Amino acid sequence: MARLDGNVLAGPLSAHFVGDATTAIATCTGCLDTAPLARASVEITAAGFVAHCRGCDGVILIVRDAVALDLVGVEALRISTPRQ
Amino acid sequence: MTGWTVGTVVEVRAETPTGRSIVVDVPGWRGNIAGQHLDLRLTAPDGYQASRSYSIASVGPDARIQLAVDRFPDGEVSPYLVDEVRPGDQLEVRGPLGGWFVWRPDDPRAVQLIGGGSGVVPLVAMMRSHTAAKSDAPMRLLYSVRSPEDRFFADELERAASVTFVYTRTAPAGWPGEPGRLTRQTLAESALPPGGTTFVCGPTGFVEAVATLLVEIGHDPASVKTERFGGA
Amino acid sequence: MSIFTRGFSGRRRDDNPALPPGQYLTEDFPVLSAGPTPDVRTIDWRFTLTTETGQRSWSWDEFMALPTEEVTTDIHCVTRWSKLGTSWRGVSLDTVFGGIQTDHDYVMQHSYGGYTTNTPLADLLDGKAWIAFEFDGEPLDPEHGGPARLIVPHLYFWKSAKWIRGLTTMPNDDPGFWEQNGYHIYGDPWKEQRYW
Repeated sequence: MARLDGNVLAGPLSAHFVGDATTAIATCTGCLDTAPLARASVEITAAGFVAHCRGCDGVILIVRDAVALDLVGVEALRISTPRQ
Repeated sequence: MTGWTVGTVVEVRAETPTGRSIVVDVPGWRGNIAGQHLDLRLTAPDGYQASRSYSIASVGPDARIQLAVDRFPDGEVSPYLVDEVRPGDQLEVRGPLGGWFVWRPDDPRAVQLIGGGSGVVPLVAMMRSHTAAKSDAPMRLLYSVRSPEDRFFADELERAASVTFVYTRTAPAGWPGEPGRLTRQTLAESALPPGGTTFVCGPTGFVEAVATLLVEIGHDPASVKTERFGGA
Repeated sequence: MSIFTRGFSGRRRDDNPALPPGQYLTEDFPVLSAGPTPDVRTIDWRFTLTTETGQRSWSWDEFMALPTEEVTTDIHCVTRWSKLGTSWRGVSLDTVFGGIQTDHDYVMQHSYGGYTTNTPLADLLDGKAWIAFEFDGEPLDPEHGGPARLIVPHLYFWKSAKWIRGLTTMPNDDPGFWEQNGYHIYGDPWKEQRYW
């Protein structure tokens, strides 16, 4: 199936982060490409949402709703919490 | 709002031969900004669940939110939403979601919106937000569909200023030029020049083709925000 | 508990006769574990078969010296995904049980990490089960149960213990980990025996 993008991670990640996590800036372990999670290339699998780095296609993270979050390819994650 | 809550369908309306808009009343909905989406979860009698994300066409604090869905022939959820759902039905929703593919009315930058098919939904929300806020920011929409009857919110968009339709298969009578895909030339003639923000939404293939074109004509990739709907 | 959605039945699942009821096809290989992935090196690996009359045990090298088979089979997970035509290499349990005498009719599978699941002995013999150490031509990945796991494809896949450490015969069909938590004691996918 065609890849989606990281916008679709907003719901599944909401079980693991306070606020919207798709604006969090992730650095890929594989190639050090740094971009908001919203820009990741995402495939939906029976194991959950698999987010790939747009630079090298390596897996950045896998999230299965409230069940599991695996930051397998995240070298760094920068989250800014906006002031209300 | 991170948990699932139950909304009630209050209205369904045919928009295109394969699409409809749906109004859902969600108690406790605290409103959404333009471009946000919600997740919708369906549960079959045997417990099987499927969930999908849908962009919200409405903006503001109203508990009645509007979605629009196009039916993918091999889809699992969209045929149900387009063919089966009726007023009174209950749907589980989670949202509003998303903080990246959004437009806030206090943003003064020029905005170009480019949508394909049902990808126009979050862009319509942005236009409605722009109008409600009486924003001075330049905002234009380029809307690509197969034929005139495939346009979502056709009446609303025909009345709006700064909307250019691109027909890829069948154009209306008297249309200048042949139907065809959105080209560099159309962008040059009808879209805002590089320098502002561009939002592109629609099927994955459409989004990637348009994003590539934009970069080729000089847009900074960082100024182009995309939302892919899957499909082709 | 979520509400049921009136009129929604999900993907057409009866199109493929190879799919048991309530299952849908997946092209990938989801990883669903009850706990963390144990780290077992083949140098430390030991497999032990225990009956009421005694024990038989193999080191990795001893195990690799046993006759192996290529197995192509369908697997069905209780969470509704099925994967057709998966290919494995392993040692048949007929080889493992070869020459063993037992009056027990049931077996408890034991994994590194503590997981257990119970099966009738008859469901592990006569070409129905293997200890597999290769998947798709490659050494079995730890997250999929490597270095070696049981595969009992005719039952739901929770009955195929990953990180297999041993089998113990028993006179009664005592419930293992998931069976104690509401899952069916036998687990036939064709009868949709998912839960009690």
